[in-house]
Amino acid sequence: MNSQLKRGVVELCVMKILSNKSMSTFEVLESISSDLEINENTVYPILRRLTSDSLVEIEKVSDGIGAPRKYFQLSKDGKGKLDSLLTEWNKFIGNVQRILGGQNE
Amino acid sequence: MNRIEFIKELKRKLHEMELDYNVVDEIVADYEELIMEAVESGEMEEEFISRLGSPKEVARNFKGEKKLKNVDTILVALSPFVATIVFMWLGLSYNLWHPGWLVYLVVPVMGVWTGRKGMSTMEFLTAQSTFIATAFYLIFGFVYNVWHPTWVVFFLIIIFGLFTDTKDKKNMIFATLIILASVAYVIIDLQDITKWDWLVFLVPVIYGTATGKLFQVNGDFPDDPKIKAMVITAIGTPIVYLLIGLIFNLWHPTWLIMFAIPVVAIILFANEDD
Repeated sequence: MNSQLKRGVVELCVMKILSNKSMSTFEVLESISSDLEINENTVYPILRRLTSDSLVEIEKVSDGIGAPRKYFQLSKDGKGKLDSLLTEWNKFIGNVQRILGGQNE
Repeated sequence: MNRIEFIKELKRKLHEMELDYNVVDEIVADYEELIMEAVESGEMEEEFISRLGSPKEVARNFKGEKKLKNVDTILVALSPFVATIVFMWLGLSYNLWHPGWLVYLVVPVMGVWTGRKGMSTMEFLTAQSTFIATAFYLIFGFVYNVWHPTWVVFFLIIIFGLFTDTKDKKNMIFATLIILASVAYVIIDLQDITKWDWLVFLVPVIYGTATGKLFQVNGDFPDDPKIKAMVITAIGTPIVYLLIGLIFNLWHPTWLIMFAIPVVAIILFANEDD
């Protein structure tokens, strides 16, 4: 798959995963890589970009040992963006399946 | 590659990209956290790191991050002019041509300041320690006309170098012995107890030689030839100065050799961005 397309898909998946619960970078990575084959270095840059775009919020949680750990969660803006991206995605996938299934002829 | 090596190299690569220091610190801390969490979850450290890719590849993802302001370059460029203005002002207004010329020390300090990228705080202080020691030596020497035993202050350079690795107990013992020997030497010398006062330095010399610390001040430095050259110059110059001073009693004008340190620093670091 085209790497840019794959990156976009992974970004959508990251947003979807973080809409349900807050997770650390490694947890997001584990969650996605259980279903998709991705490079270990894909997730963090995406999380960082989503954070700088205010689509993801960071919560620092301390377990009492060592430095507090970062947990990421989709922000209110992020949820709105996810909804519009999912609508776009479903429309896109539907159209692609229609083309591939020969239904548009 | 283990976590420490990966993080160190990643930090270096990010600094090479001239990213803002806070951005670099944040990215580095996040990768450290990611690796540690992966290891806690049962991943093999080196295996996980190899899957992350090389530090160079990882760093490439952050090309669009906030860049460093070009303040450093401006400071380096301006420092000779600022030093000259202050020097002229001190000379013309207060007839302080001497020791007013010491303001020119700001030029090499700026050179080292721009070379701080990728250095830890202690590595940076080690580089700065040459100027701290030189400035202290010159100011104390000119103000109080006490050149001897003020030269002991140059041991600061070695001590800072040793403190770059505080986890190494031998480093700490070696540094402590140098400090104790220096204090003992100054006390014995000022009270004129014996001319054999310099023998106290044999204690750290013997310990340093026996543990291999004397000729390998910091295990991290050899990675970077520029830092290595800077440390060798910083340590070697005072040694040459001491030898000429002690053997020929030529403390003045031999002290001029100390300017080799800032000159080398400028050559090595000031044009680093080119």
